[in-house]
Amino acid sequence: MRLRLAVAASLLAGAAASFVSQAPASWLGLVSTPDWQEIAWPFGRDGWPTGRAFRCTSLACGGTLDVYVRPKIGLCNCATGVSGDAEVDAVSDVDLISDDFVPLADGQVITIAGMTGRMRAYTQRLPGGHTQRSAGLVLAHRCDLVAAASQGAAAGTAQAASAITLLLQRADVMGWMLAQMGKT
Amino acid sequence: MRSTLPLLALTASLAMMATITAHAAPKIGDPPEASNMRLVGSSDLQGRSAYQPTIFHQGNRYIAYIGHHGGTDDIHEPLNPITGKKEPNGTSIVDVTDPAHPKYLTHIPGQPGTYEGGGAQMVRICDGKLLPKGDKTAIYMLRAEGSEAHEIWNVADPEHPVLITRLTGLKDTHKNFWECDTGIAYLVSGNPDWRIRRMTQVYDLSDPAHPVKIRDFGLPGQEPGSTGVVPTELHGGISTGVKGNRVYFGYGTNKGGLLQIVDRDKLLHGPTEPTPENLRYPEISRMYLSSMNGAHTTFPILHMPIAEFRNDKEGSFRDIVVIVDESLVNECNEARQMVWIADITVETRPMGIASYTVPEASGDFCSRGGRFGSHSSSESMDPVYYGKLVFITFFNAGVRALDIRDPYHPKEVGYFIPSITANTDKRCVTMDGKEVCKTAIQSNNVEFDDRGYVYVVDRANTGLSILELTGEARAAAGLK
Repeated sequence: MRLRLAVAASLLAGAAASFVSQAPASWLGLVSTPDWQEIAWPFGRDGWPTGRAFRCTSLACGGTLDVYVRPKIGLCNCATGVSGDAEVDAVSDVDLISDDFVPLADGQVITIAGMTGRMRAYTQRLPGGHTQRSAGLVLAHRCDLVAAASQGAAAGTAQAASAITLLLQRADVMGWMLAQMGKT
Repeated sequence: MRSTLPLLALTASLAMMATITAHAAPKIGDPPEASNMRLVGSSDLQGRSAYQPTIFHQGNRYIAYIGHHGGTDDIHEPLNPITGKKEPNGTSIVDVTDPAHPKYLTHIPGQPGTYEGGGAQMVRICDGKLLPKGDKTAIYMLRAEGSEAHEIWNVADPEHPVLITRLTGLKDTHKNFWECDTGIAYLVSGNPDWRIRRMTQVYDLSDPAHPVKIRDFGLPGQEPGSTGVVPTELHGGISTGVKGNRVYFGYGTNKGGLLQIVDRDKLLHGPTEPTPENLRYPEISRMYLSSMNGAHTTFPILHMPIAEFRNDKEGSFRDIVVIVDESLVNECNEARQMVWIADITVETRPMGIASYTVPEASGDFCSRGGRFGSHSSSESMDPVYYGKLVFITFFNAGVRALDIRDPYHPKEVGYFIPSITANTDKRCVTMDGKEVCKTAIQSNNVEFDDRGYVYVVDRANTGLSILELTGEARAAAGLK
């Protein structure tokens, strides 16, 4: 058991180091610590297992930011990983929030915990006509991927990306994702 | 004497346990598992991972053309003993005139690469005598070349194929369907501008030397410049040609599947600019599957007489589509992928009427290794089996003969699970952080010829098995 914990801690430390070495410096300038709290998964059943949902309301997240994350097993191209923005549009789960979304710009390459993928920001129209910002994030892990969608005033910004990175690197969240993908 | 009975009971119990253990872990040397299907002959296909077999009655010979996936991590380019060279997986051409002694004729190398990143998965054959502008002496083979191109070869001399045409600039090329009497082809590939990996590219290949593109086609939301939710990508389509005037498209693999029924004439002659309106124009209807299932194959069986309905004033003949999901993940780490039967007699209201899966417990298939679940169906419309039996591959559960004469109550009447060989590749899952690998059959695609022989090929490099029906399966087909 101790050995497994040590291995897990080592993996997480390596993952964090990997992120720090590749994340834009601006992301690391957090004004406070994100106060992520787990909330209920708000979406109905679809083809993938239910994921986990989190809410941050601190300044570090640029105001209220909701994140929905889940691994998707067997969806990724094993050889090429996340191929482009079209894949973020299709599999990041941003369509769970609303079918109607328009990208604000091309996505960016992002690496978290040794997994590389893309993140893209959108303007999303909700039922009733209200619009908001959202973002989709897809990270490749061999033939599997991690999908995350976020919504909130700062969604898709570097500040939100930093906060989400810290969330996904959290030991309990990372452990859960790896377990879902059969990696622990 | 009495004292031997418990010993016999113990022996019988141990034998049963041994059988169960054999289910969980196939070994080289184990016999095939079979019911009402018998092995006639086999070919190792040079140890290449196989996808589509197409059998063509060519003169006085029967030739099997077999598409391959790319190589494996362990063996990128298997040895071709005929040339003495290592070659990237492409197309195997095998003379199966004598099914008991198939003769490997030649291998056409494909795109270098592993798994779906290489090879030449799909293959269809058209006789030049049928194609409107074809060379009457030619036999044409259309194949997807790896993930980047479609090619047409002249295989009139199957030992010496000649490349005629190569369509390039594509991505994720996969299946195809070719109407031999018109030359219209529905190619599955990706246009780099579209938002999905795979969609339909319609070509006029009536003159194989001079392909003419007709249009790109997909679901609204997949076209360039669209925004919002991205509909599920295409897997393949089957056309009923000019007479039937329908194309049945299957979208999805193991998720978000749907059947789309399309008016062929409107597809070919409607406005081609990929706008949402133009993409909707040829569509007659859709039938959505559960989000947990995809649609690899959508095989139409039209105007079927239904015995139970024979005295009904209406609806005694029904149009049916067999929808086959594709299992994608090893050892049941996904929802069950299986077979769904849709009644599309009223095309605008397709309705699911039945389903079929191999019982998992019948072979402990979730723990055997590799994928368990359906992959594809036979697609031949030859009367030897059309409307009577459909053959379904189920990966580690082999091939299944499904009696669909009453499509409301499909019934398995035979199966065959080939033996693994030294060529059979391993399949791995990660459990508790460790990679656990097993070796099991992965029956991938299946087809039959007009003599009734069934050809099943293996994704895990085991090769080709040629089968014949016996017993109840043979009776269901009306064969003597």
